[in-house]
Amino acid sequence: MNLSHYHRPGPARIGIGGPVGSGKTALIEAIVPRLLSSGVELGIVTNDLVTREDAERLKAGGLISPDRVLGVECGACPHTVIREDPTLNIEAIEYLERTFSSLDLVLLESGGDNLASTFSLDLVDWWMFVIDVGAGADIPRKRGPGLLQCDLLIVNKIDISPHVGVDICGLKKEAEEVRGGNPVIFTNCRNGEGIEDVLAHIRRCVLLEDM
Amino acid sequence: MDIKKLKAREVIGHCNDLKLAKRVEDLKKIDRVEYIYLSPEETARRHFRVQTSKGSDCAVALPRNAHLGDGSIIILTEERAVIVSLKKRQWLRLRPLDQNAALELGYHCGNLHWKVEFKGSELKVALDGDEDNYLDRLSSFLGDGRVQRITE
Repeated sequence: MNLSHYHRPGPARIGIGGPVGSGKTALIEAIVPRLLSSGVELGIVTNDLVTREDAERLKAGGLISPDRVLGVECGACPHTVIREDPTLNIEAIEYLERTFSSLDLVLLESGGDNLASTFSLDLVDWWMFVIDVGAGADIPRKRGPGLLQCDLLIVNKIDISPHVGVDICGLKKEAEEVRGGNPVIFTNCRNGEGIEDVLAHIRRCVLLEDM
Repeated sequence: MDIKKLKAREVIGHCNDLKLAKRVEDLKKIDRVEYIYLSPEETARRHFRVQTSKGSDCAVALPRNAHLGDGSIIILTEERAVIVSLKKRQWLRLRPLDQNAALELGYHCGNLHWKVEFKGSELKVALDGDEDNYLDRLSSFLGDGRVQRITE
């Protein structure tokens, strides 16, 4: 077995978690073309409960070579394979690292879960948690561990706030309050709003650019 | 003021290693040792950016098999050493009133996926973040006396 990839800094690993339908896959679809166009070599691992739906969606989307996308069926509560026993995901990431030796970054999308879902830092170096405006203005107040402990909180679908009666300013204030100064970014992944801010965090905190 | 930018790509050794200790001591004498403070969980990260005790901006990218612990040296030059200082883990110590309370408390902590340890009749919760977030979720136990918080 070739273990040379273990003895030098390998690709960084970013986790993306959050509830079902919040926009995790849409976020990946928004950031992948921008990362690729700036020369970042990418791999993607997605988790689904009993299918590989998200992996198939990314492969079919044509944004990235399909062989750089792996689907992992977690077969249980999604948080178990990103926190309690991340073995399946570690194996998938290591497969990508062995297959594509020039990778700079692996994105790992968790299956949709609840607000208590968090990533083990044995699995990823840095992680984002995606919630969406449609789930209600009270989500930050519930102070779920996912929302509190992530490195970057993303509040997605800001465009629908007038239609679901959510005061975006109030939501922003509460999200920033419960995060205690840690970053929060508001996005509309469909039209790219806020995506450059997300990328700036990734480039600075994980890809360690500008050094 | 210019912020120094530093890069670390390996764990060079430990500050107690015979070969390295003297170099570190010499740098300490001229105030050229900087520390990065990490929690036990954060030592698992392999790509991260952190501010040192002297305000330098330090980018760390390590091999997956590197081991980071208290005293790990990640930069060692003629000019400076950068050393990991492990933050002490904070614990919330709880004592249930009786067996029923112990069962309920154990279930509650498990349901919230908290990391715990047992010490005699105490249950210790490892704090990851603000203590108030934990106390809020224990308010019913603490409020009716089923569980007592130990502070001594």
